[in-house]
Amino acid sequence: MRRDPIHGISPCAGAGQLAGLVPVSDLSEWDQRDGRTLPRAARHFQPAASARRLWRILGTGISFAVFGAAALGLTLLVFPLCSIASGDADRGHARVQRVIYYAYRAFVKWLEVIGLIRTEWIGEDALRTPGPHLIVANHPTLIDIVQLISRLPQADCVIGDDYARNPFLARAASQAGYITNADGAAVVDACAEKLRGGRTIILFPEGTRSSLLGLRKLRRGAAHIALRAGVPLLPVVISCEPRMLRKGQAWWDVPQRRSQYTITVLAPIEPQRTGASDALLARRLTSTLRDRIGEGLDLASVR
Amino acid sequence: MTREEILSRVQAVLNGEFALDPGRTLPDARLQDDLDLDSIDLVALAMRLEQETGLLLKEGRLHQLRTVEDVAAFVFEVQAPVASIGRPG
Repeated sequence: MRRDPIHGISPCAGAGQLAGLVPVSDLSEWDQRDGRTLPRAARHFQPAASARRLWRILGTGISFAVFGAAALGLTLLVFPLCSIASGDADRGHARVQRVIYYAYRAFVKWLEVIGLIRTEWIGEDALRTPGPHLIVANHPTLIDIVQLISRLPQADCVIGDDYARNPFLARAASQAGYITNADGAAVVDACAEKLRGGRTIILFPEGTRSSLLGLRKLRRGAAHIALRAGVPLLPVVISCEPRMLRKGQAWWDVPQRRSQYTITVLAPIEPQRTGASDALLARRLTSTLRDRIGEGLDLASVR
Repeated sequence: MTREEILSRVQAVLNGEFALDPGRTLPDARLQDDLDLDSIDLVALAMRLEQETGLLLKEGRLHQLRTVEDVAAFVFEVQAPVASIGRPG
């Protein structure tokens, strides 16, 4: 069986002995030797390193189980209480969002304490300035939204159509006042209205997690929202090395060493009103956003 | 308007609104795959065509159309009953 590391199966028969212990999608841990691609661990089997990785697999599984149980408890018990105690919908949404902030903050701290990840923020102060903020980030891993909300006591999100069809997630999203992504134009209006009210919104313009090859094509919804509300885009670059929890990567496919999240808040991008149509301005703004995030990712890769 | 005139009007709107090269907005050009229009662009296109033609276009229907020619055919279809109302019986 000879397949390449990108697609996740060991490229040589020798590596097969360790296939269960080698993080197959972590390209940094593969070496070229004698014309063949070999996992580093296949040449230098290290029991301690394997034990640490097994712990990380176990820790990841436990973390997801805790996350799921906590989400269930919050959605069924705590969020309804927040809504009832608040009187009106807006105050209820604000309270639920604050609970999510505390829960995600605790979850990130837990992941750090058990040795799964390490997080470094650069330029985080920009998030603490008075809103509105339209945060637009790349989306390399499953827990990017958790990382971002862990620093934002108030943050509205746009929930994808597929998530909105899940009764459990739809209920939680509704309790938090999140926007569902059923109709592009309606989402633009809803987000612009929230921004005019001074709120913070998080969007992932790729629409889904980044591909293994990097940033996907950016959708223009964020640019339309910025133009409609008259607020700048606040780009955030998320980098995670070694790779984990990426699109198509199994949760148990954890790297040999702890993953480092570097989250960089870049300078805001002001929408330029030049007399051109909104459609054209949105294209230009999205192109600028793509360039900025691309440059940010390049910088993160050499850091 | 004839169907050809409507097609020209649709192409002119696409070229102006989205700064597309006229060579790209051929009748069989696909709105999403070839011209890179998203759902919000289609709403903008519908609004612009409404301004240009004075017709009321249903946005939902526009989302089902695939090509530039389909848009022209749709506008022609909407125009037909309106035109027949004004015609002497």
